Amino acid sequence: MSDRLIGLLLLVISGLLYWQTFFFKRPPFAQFEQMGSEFFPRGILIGLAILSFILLVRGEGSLRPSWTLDSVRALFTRYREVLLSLLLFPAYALAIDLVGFFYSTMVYLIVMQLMLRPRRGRALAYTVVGSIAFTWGLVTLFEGYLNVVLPSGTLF
Amino acid sequence: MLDYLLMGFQTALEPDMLLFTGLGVLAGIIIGLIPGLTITMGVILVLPFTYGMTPAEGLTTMMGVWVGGASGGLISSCLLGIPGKPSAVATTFDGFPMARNGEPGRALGLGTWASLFGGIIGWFFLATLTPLLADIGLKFGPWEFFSLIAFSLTIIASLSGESLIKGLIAGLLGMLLATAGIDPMLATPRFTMGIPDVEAGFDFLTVLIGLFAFSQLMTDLEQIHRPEKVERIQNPDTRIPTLQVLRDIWNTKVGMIWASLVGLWIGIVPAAGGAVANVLAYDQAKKVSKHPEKFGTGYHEGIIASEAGNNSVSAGDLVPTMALGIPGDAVTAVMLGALLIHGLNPGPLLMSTQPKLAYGLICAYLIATVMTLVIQLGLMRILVKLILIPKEVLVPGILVMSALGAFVLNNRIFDIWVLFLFGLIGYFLTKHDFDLPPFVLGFLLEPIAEINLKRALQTSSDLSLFLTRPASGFFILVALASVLYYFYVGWKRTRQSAPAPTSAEGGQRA
Repeated sequence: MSDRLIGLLLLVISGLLYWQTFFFKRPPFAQFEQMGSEFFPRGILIGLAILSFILLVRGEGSLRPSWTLDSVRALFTRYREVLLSLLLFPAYALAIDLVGFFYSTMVYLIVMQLMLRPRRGRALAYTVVGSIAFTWGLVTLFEGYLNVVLPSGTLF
Repeated sequence: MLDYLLMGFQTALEPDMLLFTGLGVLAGIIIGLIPGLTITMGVILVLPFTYGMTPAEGLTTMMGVWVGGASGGLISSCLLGIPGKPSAVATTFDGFPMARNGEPGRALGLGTWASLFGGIIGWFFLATLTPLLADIGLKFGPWEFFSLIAFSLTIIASLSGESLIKGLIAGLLGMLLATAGIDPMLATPRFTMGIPDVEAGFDFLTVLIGLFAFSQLMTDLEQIHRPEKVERIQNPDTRIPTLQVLRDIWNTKVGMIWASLVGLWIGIVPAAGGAVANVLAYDQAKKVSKHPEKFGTGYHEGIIASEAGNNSVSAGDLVPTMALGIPGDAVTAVMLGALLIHGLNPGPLLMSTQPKLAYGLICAYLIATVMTLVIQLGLMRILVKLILIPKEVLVPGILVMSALGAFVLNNRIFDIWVLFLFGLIGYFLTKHDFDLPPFVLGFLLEPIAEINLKRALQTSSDLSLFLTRPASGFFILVALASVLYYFYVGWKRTRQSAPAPTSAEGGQRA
C-alpha cells in the first residue's frame, strides 16, 4: 500500500472517529464540565488528520493500487508462511477457548512446525514428542508452580 | 544516597534475588545470541513468569534478561558475522574478522569483558544521576509533565525513523488506541464499539507483546525459506585468553570510557537506544584511536568500543525511566508496564516512596552486569551451540508463549485477540516504514498526558504557562528545535543531492 493511500485511509478513519466522539455519553455529574471525555481524543484526531493530509499530499506512490493477478500470486508465494500463520493463530485462539490450552497448544505447535518445514519419519516423531513435552512443561510450570489456571475449554 | 545504595545491595544480594537475576541473565544471553530475537521480545516473553513473584524479584529477573541480552548479541556477531541484535551491529565489524583470523576466543573475551566495564561505567551514572533527576521531577507540575511527554514523543518520532511525519503519525495512533475504554477522569466509555471487554481498555503489555513479539515473528517468517549466506566459524576455539584480553582493554581504556559515555548519553536521550549507541560509540572510538585505519580488520578497539557502548546505553535508558517514569525505548516501556502490573506507580515519587525497590533495581543492574560476565565466560562452549536453533522450531514456540503471556495477564481469552490485533497493526506499520517505538510511547504516555493537560487547564486556562514555566518551556523549545533540525537536515540533504546546474542553465538564471 502506498504512503498516499495510507494517508487517505487514516484521514477517513480520523473523520469517522471524530464523528464518533459526539456520541460519548457524559455522566450526570460532568454535564457542566468544560473539558469532557471527548476533549483529548479530538485533539489527537485533529493532529492525526493534519499529518495524514500531509502524507496524502506529499507521500510517495499512487492512490490507485496497481494489483494484477500475477502480482497477487507473487505476493501470496512470498508471504505464504505469514498468511498461513495469520490464519492459524486465530484458529488457535478459538481452539484454546473451546478445547483448552493443553490440546490446542499441542496441535498448534505440531501444525505450525509442519507447515514451516514438512517432515517425515524420525523428524516427525521428534516434532510430535517435542511439542507434547513443551506443552506439558508449560502447563506444569504455570499451573503447578506459578498458580495460574489455564483454560480447560468450554467443551470439556 | 550511600545509605540507600547499601540498602539496595542488601535487597539485590538476597539469595532468591540472586537466583532470579542469574536466571534472567542466562535467558537474556540465550535470547541475545539468537539472530532475529530482540531483547524487547525476550523481556516480554519472560514477563508472564514474573507474575507470581514479588515486584522486586520480577523486575530483577527482567533486568537480568535485559542486561544479559545486551551482551549476548556479541556471540553471533563474532562467530556468524550476523549481529544477534541491532545493538551488536558494530561488534560484527571487528569481531567477525578477528574470529576469522583464528582468534574467536579473543574476540568473544574482548566483547564480554568490555560489556562488563561499559556496564559498570553506566551503572555509576545510573546510581548518581537517577536520584538527582527524580528530585527535579518532584518539582514538576502538570505543565512540565505534559511538555515532557510532548518532548519525548517529538524526539522519538524525529530520531527513530526515516520520516518525522510517519513517526508522529505512529505516536498519535498509539495515543488514539490508548483512549479506547473508560475515560480515567470522567468514567465515560470511549471508542468501545459496543464490546464490553474493551471498556477496560487494551492492556499495555498485551499491546507490547503484539507489537514486538507477534509482528517481529511475522517478519522473521518472511525470510524463513530464504537461504542466508552465513559464513560460520567452524568449531570455534572459545577458550578465552583472559590476560591478553585484559591487557588489550587496559591499553584501550580512554576509547572504552569515551564509548561508554557516548552510549550512556544516547540512552538518556529518548528513542536512540542500543542500535544507534553501538555504531556511534564505535565511530567515536575510531576518532580517538591512534590507529583508526585498523578498524574493520579485526581490531580489538572496535569490539571494545561497540560492546562498552551498547551496555552502558541500558543504564542511560534507565535514568529517565526510573527518575521520571518516562521510558526511553521499548524495553524500558515494558519495565514500566511491569511496575504497573505489580501495583507500583512509576514516576519521580518511586525513588522516595519505594527506595528499597528502586535502589534494589539499580544495584541489581550492577549484579546482572557481573553475572553476565561469569555466565558468558563459564558457559561459552554451550552457548555457541545455541546460535543456530532453527526458526521453524523457535517461531511456533514463541507464538505460544506470547499467547500465554497475554492470557495470564487478566485470565481472558480476549487478550489473545488483542495481541493478534496489535500484532497485525505492528506488522502493517513495520511493512510501511512506520516506526514502532513512537507508537508504544504514545500508547503508554496517553493517560499521563491527558490527565496532566486537563489538570493544567483546570488550574489555569492561561496557555502561555506551558512556555513561561522554565522546565516546561525548555521541553517545548527542545521539541520544536528537534523538529526544525529534522527539516534542516532534510533540506540540506536535498540540496546536496540536487544536480549542479550546467553552465548554460547557470547562465540563463544569471
